Amino acid sequence: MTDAVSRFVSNATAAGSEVVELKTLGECFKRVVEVLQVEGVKHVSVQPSSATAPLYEMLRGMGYNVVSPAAGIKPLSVVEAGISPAELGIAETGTVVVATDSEAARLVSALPLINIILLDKSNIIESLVDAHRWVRGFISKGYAVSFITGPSKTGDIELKMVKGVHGPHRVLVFIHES
Amino acid sequence: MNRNLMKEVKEALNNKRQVANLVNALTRMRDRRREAVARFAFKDFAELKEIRRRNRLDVRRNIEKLREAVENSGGFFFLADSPEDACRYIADVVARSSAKLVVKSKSMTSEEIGLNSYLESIGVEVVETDLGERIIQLAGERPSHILAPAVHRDAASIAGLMAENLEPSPKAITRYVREDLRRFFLNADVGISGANVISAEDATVAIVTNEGNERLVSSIPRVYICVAGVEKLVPSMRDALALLRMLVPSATGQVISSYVTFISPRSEGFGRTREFHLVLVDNGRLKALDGLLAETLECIRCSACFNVCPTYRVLGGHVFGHIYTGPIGLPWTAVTHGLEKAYEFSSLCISCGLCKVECPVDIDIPFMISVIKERGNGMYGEAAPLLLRNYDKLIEIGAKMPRLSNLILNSKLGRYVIEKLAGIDSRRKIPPLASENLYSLSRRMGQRIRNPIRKAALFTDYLLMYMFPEIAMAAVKVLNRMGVYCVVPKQGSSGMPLIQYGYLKKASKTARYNISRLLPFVREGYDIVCLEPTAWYCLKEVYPRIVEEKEEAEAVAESSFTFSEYLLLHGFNEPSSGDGLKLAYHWPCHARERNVVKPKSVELLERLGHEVMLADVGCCGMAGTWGMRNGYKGYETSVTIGKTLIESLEKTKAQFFITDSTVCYLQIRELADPRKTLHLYQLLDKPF
Repeated sequence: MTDAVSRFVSNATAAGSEVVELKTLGECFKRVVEVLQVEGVKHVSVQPSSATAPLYEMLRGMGYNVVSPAAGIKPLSVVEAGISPAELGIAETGTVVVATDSEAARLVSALPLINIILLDKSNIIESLVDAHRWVRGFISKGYAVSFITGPSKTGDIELKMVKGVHGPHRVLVFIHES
Repeated sequence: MNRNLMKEVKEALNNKRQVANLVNALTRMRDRRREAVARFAFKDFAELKEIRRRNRLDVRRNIEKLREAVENSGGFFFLADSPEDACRYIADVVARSSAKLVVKSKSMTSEEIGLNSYLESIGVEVVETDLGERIIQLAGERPSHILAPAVHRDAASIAGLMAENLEPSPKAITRYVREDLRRFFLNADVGISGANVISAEDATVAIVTNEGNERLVSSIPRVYICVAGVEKLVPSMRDALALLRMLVPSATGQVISSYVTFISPRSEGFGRTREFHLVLVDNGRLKALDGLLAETLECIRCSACFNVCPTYRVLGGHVFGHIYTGPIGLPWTAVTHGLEKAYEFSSLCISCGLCKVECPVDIDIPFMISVIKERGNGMYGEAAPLLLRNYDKLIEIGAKMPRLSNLILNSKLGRYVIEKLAGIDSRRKIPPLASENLYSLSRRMGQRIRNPIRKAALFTDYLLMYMFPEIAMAAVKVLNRMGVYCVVPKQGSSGMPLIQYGYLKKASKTARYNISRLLPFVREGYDIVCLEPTAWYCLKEVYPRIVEEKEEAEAVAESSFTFSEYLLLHGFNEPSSGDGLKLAYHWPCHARERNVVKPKSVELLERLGHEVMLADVGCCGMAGTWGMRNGYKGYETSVTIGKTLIESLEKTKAQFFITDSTVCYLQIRELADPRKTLHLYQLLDKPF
């Protein structure tokens, strides 16, 4: 188990994700706020889930403009940071699996320049191919599934890597205990 | 034929900046990829091959499975027989939704069917959102590479396309494109993408990107259309992930891409059901299933073959391609755009076989290209002039009167005539015919060996047989020293030029003859030692495919070894006296094997105490007779390719440049310092 976690951390880091191992979900929320402050974020979107519900309220209470994915594309497009709960981590590739109940909610991790992902340590599995069971399960329930491994980037010009093409230039993964 | 290929080749070679950009970029992509796939075991590749073979055989069943799954999940499914069918269906969907703006994520299939111009002709604005594709769209070009569509351009030429006064750096251009394309994403009515793989049972499309543009293309617009070839189908999500696990490292050299986006008809759009259309394109693919080009459908479009193709690497995809580019682009073109379009640029394949070595699915690309040449020869032209096709007879006759032949070869008039009749460039040095061929020389010199521990029958090909028998004799002496008794059976040429130019029936005759000459020796316990990598390649890779007597061909193949392989296998060890030499080695294409990173010859030379550096740029560019062909038919491109090898050899500061293919040896000797160029056998035979 710990093996899988450390493999996840090293592979995700190699892919350009900023991985932080934390204890509780509460600690993760604190870190989220720190990042938002450092980056000067005002508009934020939180992908709805039982894990992120308290964060949603917390950020609203702090005066952030918290945009619901259901609000429509115009309000979503001004969001500077998106916070997504991950369903799964894949150690082999350093990937997080994000499943959203709509295509609109998928945009929380797709549109802004910063994407913070919360991952429960106990949901890290070893192999990419083994993820097929979960992926199938989510899809059959009508979820939109995304694998995210590092920031949006391109090598299309002279094969030189540039981050933040159409998606986030920063991807942070906060790992917490169950 | 509509294309003036020689003019295109000339223009590409004269664009020195583009040649440098391409060679540089593709070599880096090759190395990155090799590093990434090094973690895979043989069984990973074997599993991928098995998955793709099964996908191909089951494609019809999977199409029906997918149709059912898409329709049961509330999506729309359409199987398009032709490009027109596909375009018309998509245009109807676009028109029904009163769309004015379409955003697209990269799709080679949409290039194949000419979708953009079709949509534009009915008044729809189409915007490509992959950075490379966007560059190409603004430049009004075609993608020159499936993975990096704008690989032939540098930042300076790209910045100018985007906006005035834009800083010509990849970063500034990328920032600009992010801002510029946002308004299109947010206002698009329809999103269109391709697919990297489609799981039939889940009705789910999977797309890999690093930019994340496909996420916006598929999520924001009210209507989403996926257009993909039927070969993208796999039965299950498990197969889909197993394929992606191998695809991404093979393509970009990453462990996985930044994003894998799964798109199914079940997921909701903004507060309402999104329209989901899956357009599968046949366009010749299903027909190809039953023929010699069937393996094309196993391709996962990773572009690994592009990185190593010596002619593609200097000419680029606008010359080496129609819509589909690169080595695998030849069979793709034949399948989807017809034989003639493929035949038009098939002469750019020089049968080095590196594409097959590099292909993660082990697709026999060079053989399929030979088939394309064979089918087109006579109908659309001839891949080689008549005299060149009978090169073996010419050499046999010439070797009967070597003095006269050499007189002709050395005279200006002689070379003029040879250029006119056989298309051999006058600037190319042709090695003289030896006064005594290998049969006679080996009989006359005899062998110093008392109690042989093994017996070897040598298969040599014609350069060693008739032009450099002394190099072959050097090999014999080395073999004798390790206790191997050698015979030179009566044999023909390897037939490689016939295979290369697509005269497969004739090649098959040559193959049958050689097998019939070698098989009796195999049955008597001889090993077949091939003194040319190409001879070995023919016995192992090609003959079993082109003769009907499969068992005999396999029996010979199984007993065949390259020279270095044979020496290593039987423990040849003669440590060099002193410190050994500092050597640079060129690895002949036909001596390469899948997933082998260290040449046998390097292993051998190191065992003997030499320091060996591998000058690993790839093919030397000679490719048998091709590099001798006049002007832009061969010579010019050959020399351009060869020069990159020479640069890399010279950079090593080695005392000698070593190779074990006589054809490569000729190229290096001609383009580099001939005194520093040695054939491996000469080196091993001489006491250093």
